[in-house]
Amino acid sequence: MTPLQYYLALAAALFAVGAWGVVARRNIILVVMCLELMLNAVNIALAAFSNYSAIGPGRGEVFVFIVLAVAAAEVAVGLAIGIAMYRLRERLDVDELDDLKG
Amino acid sequence: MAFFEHLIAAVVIAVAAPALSAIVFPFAVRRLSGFMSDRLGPNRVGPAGLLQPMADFLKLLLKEDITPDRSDRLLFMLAPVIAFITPVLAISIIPFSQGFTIANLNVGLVYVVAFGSFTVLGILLAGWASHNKYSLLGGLRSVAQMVSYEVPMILNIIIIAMLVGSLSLNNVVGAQGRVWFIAVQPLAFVVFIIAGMAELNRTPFDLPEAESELVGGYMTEYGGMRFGFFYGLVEWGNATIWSLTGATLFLGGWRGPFAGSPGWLILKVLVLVFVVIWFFSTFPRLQIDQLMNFAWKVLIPLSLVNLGVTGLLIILLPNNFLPPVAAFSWVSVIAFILLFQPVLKKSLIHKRLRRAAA
Amino acid sequence: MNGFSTPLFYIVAAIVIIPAVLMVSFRNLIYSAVAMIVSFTGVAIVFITLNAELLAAAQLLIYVGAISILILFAIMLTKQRSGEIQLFFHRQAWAALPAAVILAAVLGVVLGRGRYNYAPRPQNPATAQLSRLLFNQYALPFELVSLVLLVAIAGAILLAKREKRR
Repeated sequence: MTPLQYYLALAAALFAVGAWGVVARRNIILVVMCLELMLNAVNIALAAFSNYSAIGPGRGEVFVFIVLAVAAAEVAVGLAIGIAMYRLRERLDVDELDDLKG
Repeated sequence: MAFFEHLIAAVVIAVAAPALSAIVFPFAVRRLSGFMSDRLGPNRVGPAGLLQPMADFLKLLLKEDITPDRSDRLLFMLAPVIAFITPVLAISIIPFSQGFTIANLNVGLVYVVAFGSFTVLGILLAGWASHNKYSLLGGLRSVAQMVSYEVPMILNIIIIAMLVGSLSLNNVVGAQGRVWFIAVQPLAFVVFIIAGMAELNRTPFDLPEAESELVGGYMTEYGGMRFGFFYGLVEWGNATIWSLTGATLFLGGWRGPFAGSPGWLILKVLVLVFVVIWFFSTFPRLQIDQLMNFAWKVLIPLSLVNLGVTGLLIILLPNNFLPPVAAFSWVSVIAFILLFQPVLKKSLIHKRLRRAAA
Repeated sequence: MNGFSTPLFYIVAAIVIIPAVLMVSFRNLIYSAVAMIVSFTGVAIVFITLNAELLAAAQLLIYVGAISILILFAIMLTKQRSGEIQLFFHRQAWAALPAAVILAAVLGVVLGRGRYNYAPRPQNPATAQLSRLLFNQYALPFELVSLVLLVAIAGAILLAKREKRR
């Protein structure tokens, strides 16, 4: 039986890879993709805790469902914004999308 | 069954089913649509043309393997493989007889729909990797259509799950002991057929691969055996999967009048594939905006109403909800069939189209 | 699964992590998207090993079947004319990799040293319990999520509408 810590290590590694992608890449669509990776890492951790919990299964999975749905909504709106910016500027570089900079 | 025997049976069935459907069904469609058009189909090769699939197979193998010049070679070759994941995996959840399912999952119904997403991905990547405007357009349209029609399909599967009380396909077949679900929810069956045709990219929804519109859609640049892969294995494999799912959900699966056996399931699959071929020969094509309108403005509200009323009836009469559900479903399917055309004529869509055309 | 062996876990973890790392390093966006899809499928397999079959199906349906297609559409519709000018080694990227490694190490140590009160439960499908909780105790978050999805649909449609040229 794989111990709980292995799943948590997997989640931590995936989260770190996603964080690396968000910081290191400049294309906004790739940034959104790496955000999804981070959300997946969180889902793995939640499902692992729920599976190994002494109380009983179910709660972690409910949380994962909510995160899945909100992630889908966030991707839709984020990509819509990205495409709208592309139509305006024809650039998808996050460093150049700084209209709201103070 | 022991693990390895089960595994070998699984692999054999999962590979043999799409392969058999790729051999039998394209030939069947040519012969049957020929008969429906008052002509004979191919009948020269072998007795009554039965060796025609072999001739086609050899011809496709011997063709030159062309890859478009500036296409993405890796994705070009990978796309049909990704699309082929669906028929191979989805056949593992269908119960072939009492006690024999390759993978008896508790949530089989959700997996049937979940596996469909791999074909969508394969088609999208194929359209992109061909580096061809028409392929890309065909691929995008095909994907939009398939994703739109997944929603009514899922809603109807939920209706069946509510009637059974379980998401497992074995329980679905088990619950059809006395009466098949086609008699209980004909509205769900009708919407299932319509949504299924759109999922399979078959007429009347085959705009993405219509020869007169987009040359070949996402399949344009795929020649020789690659075409055989896409058309035979993927498309007809998916048709077999859809027929298996329909037979399990609505027609009683492996049940038959005397004793349940896989033979009855295969017979029902043949009936449903005949329905696919029948629609192919009879209906004209819908335009892309017409079919998207139909999905979002007609099928989804209809399925939602069906879902809501069925759920309500199940809650109000938990002991014998089948007769009221059946009554509601029969009345609404007859009303839908009779009233669809007049209501469409009076609707805003029609008025706007006529005003635009004038 | 009782006795889900550790070597299998390593294989599944490889299916999740290696495509994720590849995804961040590919220049070609479509290759990144395909690697991401493989990683998502790996996460679905992880859910199956955690006795959460319905979650695995939902992961396949939502992530592989909808979000990946959305992302692929966005990539295909926004191909930059001058080709892929991903200036990969810009100022921030040099600091990102060590920072990510440190993040992984910190998370790993913190989570690994925690004392967990856990009892590996027998093979039990979580589906029934999940649905019971979702519709009784957690019905409010469920309804709120449907509201969030509705707002997202409306927002995405509004953002995607083209301006009418006058």
